[in-house]
Amino acid sequence: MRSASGPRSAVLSRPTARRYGVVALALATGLGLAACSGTGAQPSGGGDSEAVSLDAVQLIAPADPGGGWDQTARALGEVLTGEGLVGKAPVENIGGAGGTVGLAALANEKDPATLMVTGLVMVGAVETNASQSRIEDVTPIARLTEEPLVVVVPSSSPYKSVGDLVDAIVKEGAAISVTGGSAGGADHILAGMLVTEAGVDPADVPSTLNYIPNSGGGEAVTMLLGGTVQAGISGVGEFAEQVEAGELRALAVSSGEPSELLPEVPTLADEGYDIELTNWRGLLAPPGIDDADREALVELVTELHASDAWTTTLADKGWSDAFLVGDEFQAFLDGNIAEVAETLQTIGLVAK
Amino acid sequence: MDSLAALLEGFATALQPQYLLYALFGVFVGTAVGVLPGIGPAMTVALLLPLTYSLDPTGALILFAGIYYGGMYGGSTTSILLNTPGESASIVTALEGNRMAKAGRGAAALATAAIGSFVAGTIATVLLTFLAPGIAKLAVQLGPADYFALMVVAFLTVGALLGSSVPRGLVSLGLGLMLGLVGTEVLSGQQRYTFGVPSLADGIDVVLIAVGLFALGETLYVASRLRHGAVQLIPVTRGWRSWMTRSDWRRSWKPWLRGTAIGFPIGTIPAGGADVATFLSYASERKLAKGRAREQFGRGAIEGVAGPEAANNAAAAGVLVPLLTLGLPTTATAAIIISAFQSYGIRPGPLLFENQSGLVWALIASLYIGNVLLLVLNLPLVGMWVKVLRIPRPYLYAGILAFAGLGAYALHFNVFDTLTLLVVGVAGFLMRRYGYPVAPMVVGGILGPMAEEQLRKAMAISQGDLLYLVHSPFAIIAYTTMAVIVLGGIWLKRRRARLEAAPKLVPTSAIQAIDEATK
Amino acid sequence: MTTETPDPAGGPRPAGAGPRRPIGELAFAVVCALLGVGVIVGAGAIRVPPGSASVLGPRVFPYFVGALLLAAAVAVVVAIATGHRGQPDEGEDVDPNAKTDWRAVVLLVVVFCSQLVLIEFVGWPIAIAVVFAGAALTLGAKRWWIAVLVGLGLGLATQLLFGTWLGLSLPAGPLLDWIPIFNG
Repeated sequence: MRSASGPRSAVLSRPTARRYGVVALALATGLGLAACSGTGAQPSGGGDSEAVSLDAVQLIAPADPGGGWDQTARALGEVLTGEGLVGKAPVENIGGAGGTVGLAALANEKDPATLMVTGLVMVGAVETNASQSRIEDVTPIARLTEEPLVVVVPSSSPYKSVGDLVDAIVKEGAAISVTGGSAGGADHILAGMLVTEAGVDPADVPSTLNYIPNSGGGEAVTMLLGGTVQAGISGVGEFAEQVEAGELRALAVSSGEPSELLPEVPTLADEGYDIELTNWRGLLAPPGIDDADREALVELVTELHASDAWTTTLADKGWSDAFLVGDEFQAFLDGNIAEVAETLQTIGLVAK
Repeated sequence: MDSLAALLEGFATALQPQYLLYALFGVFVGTAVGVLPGIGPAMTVALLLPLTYSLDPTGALILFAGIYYGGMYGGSTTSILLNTPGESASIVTALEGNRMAKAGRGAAALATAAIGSFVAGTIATVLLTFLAPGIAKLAVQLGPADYFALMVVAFLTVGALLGSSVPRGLVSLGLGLMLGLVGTEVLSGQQRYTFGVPSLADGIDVVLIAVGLFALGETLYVASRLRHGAVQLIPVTRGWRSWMTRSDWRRSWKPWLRGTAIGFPIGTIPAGGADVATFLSYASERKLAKGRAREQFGRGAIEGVAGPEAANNAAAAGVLVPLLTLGLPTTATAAIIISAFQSYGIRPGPLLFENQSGLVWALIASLYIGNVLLLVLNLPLVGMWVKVLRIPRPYLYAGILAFAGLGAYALHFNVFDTLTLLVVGVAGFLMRRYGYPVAPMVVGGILGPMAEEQLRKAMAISQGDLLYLVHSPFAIIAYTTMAVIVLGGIWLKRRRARLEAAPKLVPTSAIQAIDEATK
Repeated sequence: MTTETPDPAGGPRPAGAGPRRPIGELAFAVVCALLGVGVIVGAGAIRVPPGSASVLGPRVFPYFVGALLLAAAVAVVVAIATGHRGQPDEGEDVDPNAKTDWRAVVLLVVVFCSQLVLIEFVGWPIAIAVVFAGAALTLGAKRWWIAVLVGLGLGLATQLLFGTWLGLSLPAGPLLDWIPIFNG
């Protein structure tokens, strides 16, 4: 049961959560920050005279209120209605099991004007939960944002580069423990890719990589600062504060380009590891929709991406733009799914 | 900057009329929403956070501090009056507090909770002011082995809750641990006992266990043998003087202080959280109670409300230590506070006291003010809250049932949780009927998964070296303290048993036999 | 409330302190023992991933929990068999001499179950009104219309407070969805 850490983690996501529902409400009632005041946000009415191909779009956040996916869905709803791209864009939360509960709901959705938030975590959860519904079954629409991961060590650590760290793991094995987010999550996957890339036989990866997962926020930082573990991997946002304060040393980020939050830190490619893995978020539509419906959604999302309000939202939330649609997104998604599935098998979380 | 001078400056800011007004409003709204059953402080704060968005950062954080303390107090009110704790930290309050309320002592329970919260909150805020940097440095050194030691100590609570039949208490504990097993385990990400149901993959929320056992199970049990005929009117004490009698004061002040002493340090360490602090406080109050108070435990002992409520509030202030100095959220509420800071582009962390000194100290000052306002505002309302219990029984229990349903459905907007609540509620009914204590089940459901996670982390880090569990001074101290408490308890029990047994031990048959023989 | 509980082993027992023969009590204890067995058997089905996280694997704690539950439940069965019956909970609203009113319990469970269907099909306010009114009537409310009115009021108030004001996604239901204030 999550609840154990429930008081911390489960509850942690849920109520943080609620507030975004409320934020949406607050914004609608003019209480909130006028984030998207660019065009003078109109309260959602029915018949806008704007030329819209869709009157309404149903947004699904496959998570409880509060987490990244929920924030993404709420922000989308705000911008879509605020810019008059659609008349209404209500958000429904269908949380649970790393988004696979929401994915199952989407697979049965009949209304083609439906967009569900997705991301790297769902790609992994489909594998680790042996989900009946798979992302391949539904219709991919777009990738929107991404957050790079960062590899850190305590500032007192002897490891000066990501190479030092990976070499030590290869040589000393389980004596070096690495911490991060949940088992089988993005952080764990990146750790597995690093060890595999360093030449460890896939069969030996589970016994070589001693990964200590955490269920709640902040625990990884504590373990690093307390010297309980030797290294950590997480989203740049999780560690940035301690890195700036000089308590943690960032060795590398996992994106193609240096991160905006930690511009000084080299990428894994710079350090000689051919790995790029970011915590991306995107949108999916129900299965079996016809081309016209799919085109309408793609066009809607493209218009959204072009709007100033979305640019403002990205800046406010600290999200990096990673817009990708059509065949490019399809190709990226296929590659991502294959890569994640393989790594999860290698690190032993999913049976081969 | 000197802490004291900085704090005074903070007061100068926070005492400005408009900020005082924000604080008052925050306390009021926080209490009002926190009082709603099934809504704990964390959710109260989360729900009301947007109210702060239209204000300047200082005003927002001051309003927010009021909501924080108000929500905390409101949560204990529902635990005491309706037995529907909204979060794990107020479960212990429900244990004794609800019994007190039903015995007509609700006003005393609410008053000791309010004053205890005030005392603990104020002392803890003073500690926060002066010790924050030092404590945080110590706390961050604790590892999984230390947390595990803490969990083991917290399990002592179960001993205090077992009731008269040890096997029945252990069955209850076992059922709680069993529910705790359901879901995806943290260490290797495997699903356990989920039967392929995706809604079970995230585990069974502890709120379902608590509300199921306390609110639903109790309602079913009461329904099964409702006292028909004239409803016994619960006497509502009139006038604030009678809320707490002199004896209540005498019995409360020590638990307040002990609760503070337990709550604050535990609040500062990650993985502790207010719930562990309340359990420890409850266990120690029960251990320390003497005479009549000891008999009252389980039937409405004021110590069992005063201690845990103080511990809860002290822990809440303790949580702010790692939060403000390290940027570490260690509880749900703390996570929300962090997001409040972040919505102003401020990241709490090691640099916060330097970069945002004025803001931080205004916040700390407003914690003091919020504490005072809470007391001033809520003590007069105690009588009003208590009247809830005069509602005719059919409507009162129907209302509890309705709010239990709301609490379950609002978790994930999914009736699966409603179903889970019902199953737990029926189990709670049967347990009450057949003489099983329900509290160990809740404790097992909360502490079991925490203990397993920390133990397995420690074992993974040390790669199976059992000595790692006692490698740190903190763990050694924790285990030693526990041993002393347990052995001391056994010794006291033996001694008392011997004293009490002495006069009784001569069986009448033996006397008769002697009489016969001497005839 | 502060009276000593009677010695479970002997002495006269209040009429309602449990069924005359401990069948229900035994059955519950046996079910708990079976749950313990179930936990142990189920633990064997948990996948143990290879590698360092399994030094103390995902099965160990479940085995421990199952064993504890089984042992404790067996001890309770033995205790019941040797006459150590459980003491039903006391409470302010509980009449210790009343016979168990199974009808009320079953009705309450049914009433509570109605939410499983009603929330989705007729919306939150009506579902909660049904629960409230049903429970109040089951528990002996004198005037049915008061129960219904209070239930409806409670349903609408929570819908407004949580759904409209606080933004939680409580379904208003087809009967109310057309009213703008309920239609988030």
